[in-house]
Amino acid sequence: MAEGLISDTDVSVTLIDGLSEEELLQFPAFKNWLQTLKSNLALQSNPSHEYHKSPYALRDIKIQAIDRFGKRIGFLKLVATITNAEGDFLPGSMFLRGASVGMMILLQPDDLPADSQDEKHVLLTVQSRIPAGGLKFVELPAGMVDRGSFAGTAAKEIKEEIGLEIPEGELLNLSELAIPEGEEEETCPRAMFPSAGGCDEYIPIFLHEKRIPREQLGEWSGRLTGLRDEGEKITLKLVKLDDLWREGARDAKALAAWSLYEGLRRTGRI
Amino acid sequence: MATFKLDLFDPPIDVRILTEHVTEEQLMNWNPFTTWAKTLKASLELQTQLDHTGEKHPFHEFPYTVRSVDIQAVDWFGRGKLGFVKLTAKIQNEAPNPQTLPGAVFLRGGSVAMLMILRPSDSNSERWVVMTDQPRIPAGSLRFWEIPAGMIDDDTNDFSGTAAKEIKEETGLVVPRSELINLTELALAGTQVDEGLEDAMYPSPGGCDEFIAIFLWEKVMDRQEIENMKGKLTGIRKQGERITVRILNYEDLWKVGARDAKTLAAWSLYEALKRAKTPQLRALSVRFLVDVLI
Repeated sequence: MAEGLISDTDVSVTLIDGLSEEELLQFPAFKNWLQTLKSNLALQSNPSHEYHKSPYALRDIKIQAIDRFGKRIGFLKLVATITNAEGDFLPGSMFLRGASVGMMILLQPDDLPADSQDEKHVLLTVQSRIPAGGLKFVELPAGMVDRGSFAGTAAKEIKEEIGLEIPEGELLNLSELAIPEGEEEETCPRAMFPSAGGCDEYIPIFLHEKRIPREQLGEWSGRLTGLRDEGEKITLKLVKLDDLWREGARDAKALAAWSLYEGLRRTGRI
Repeated sequence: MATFKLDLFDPPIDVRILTEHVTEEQLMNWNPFTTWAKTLKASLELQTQLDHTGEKHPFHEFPYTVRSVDIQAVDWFGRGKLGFVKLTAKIQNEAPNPQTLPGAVFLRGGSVAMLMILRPSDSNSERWVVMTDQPRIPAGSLRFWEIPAGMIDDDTNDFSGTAAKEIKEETGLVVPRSELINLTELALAGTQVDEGLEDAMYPSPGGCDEFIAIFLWEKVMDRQEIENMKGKLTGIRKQGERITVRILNYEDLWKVGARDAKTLAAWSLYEALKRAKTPQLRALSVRFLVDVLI
């Protein structure tokens, strides 16, 4: 268990076996979180800041656990000590895992008028989610944007089952549309935070709308309904957009997508 | 390193406690851990059964079982309460090429969130929402806006916790259980699911057990009362204040709350249930003598 100061700071860090300071500082999730936190703590030097009289500072970080995906760091569990001169502290226990993306994929028969809202369908995933204790958890597809397109297990399954690939250029970032840039003093990712009190995770919600021949939509729908391949860890489900809030009522990403889509449409932004 | 046999799973499994900060007894007395194990066990049992549509489970040929659990780290909150537990579960099947399911779990249990809507008695459509503004270190922010979160108190059954306390102090508003409408429960009513998941929103089911029941609390008040509250709570936060109560125009909720999963979840459920003319929301109309469904 190594201890030391993070270079160029007076923040001490306690590592765990198998994790070097270098690897920690290069872990994108840690790097980004630390940078965001430092820049927002720095705002306290502004006389009008609510903590100006007794500013909080990051004193130390203790890494408690690490989960690796192969060689790379997947998740970290850490506790950060953030106190002011009075000994008040801000809760600093967190699960660190970094960002991902949520993908709202809307499919509509192309024989309807271009401005029609009818018969829009949304693609959902069904998979095991051990933390939730379920093996058939329904969610909005999640993943990463990697090398120019939506990537990850859900993206792979979508490509395999219906041949749909989603290039970056055909994505609309709904979160960034809803959260204007430059209007806040703080720097904070313009994305949905599932659980900001305990986890750094943030998820921008993207929209990909596609109009396809009616027969194709029917074919895809039929294929996914009939599909129960043995042992498939992830399957897909096509539901009406109108039903997204019910079908996805347990999933933060699905409800976030419904909200952003609805709000942006009502205000004429999309 | 302590090891104990957990017989919540069948067959019983080994739990290795890799931290000195928790004992078997403390873990077994902690509701989130036992709830998670029981929920998972029940879901695993479905693998060998037909579902409610008569279909075989996707994993029926090579069902998964839990082999072991490692408790890696824990955090204790004040007053001797276990707060967070980080564990990994090894979950594998007996396929010729054995498959595993991702088993890293950040355990913290469930909570509640409140969509608190204040309506001036002289308007049919105007609404204001009670929000909290506080530091959220995992988000790297000192000013994170959310709808109020907390717990339902075991004894009083009322909304309780830091946010509830601050709201009561700043506005006098108290939220009794009898006046709450569970939006997630309403949304899920009539949907059939064989797994014993909670009627709640799961912020991050791929990494965390957390589930949040979203409640609605609507109250009609004199416009002046609302204006007084707004006047008291706008502007910069008081020096050193750890959690600040805000009153936000409902029209801005989905934008101002666009970073918060709870806020977007609450807004979507409220809007959709209204649009679907849900009877329980209609009952609010009768109480308030206003049309809640606008």
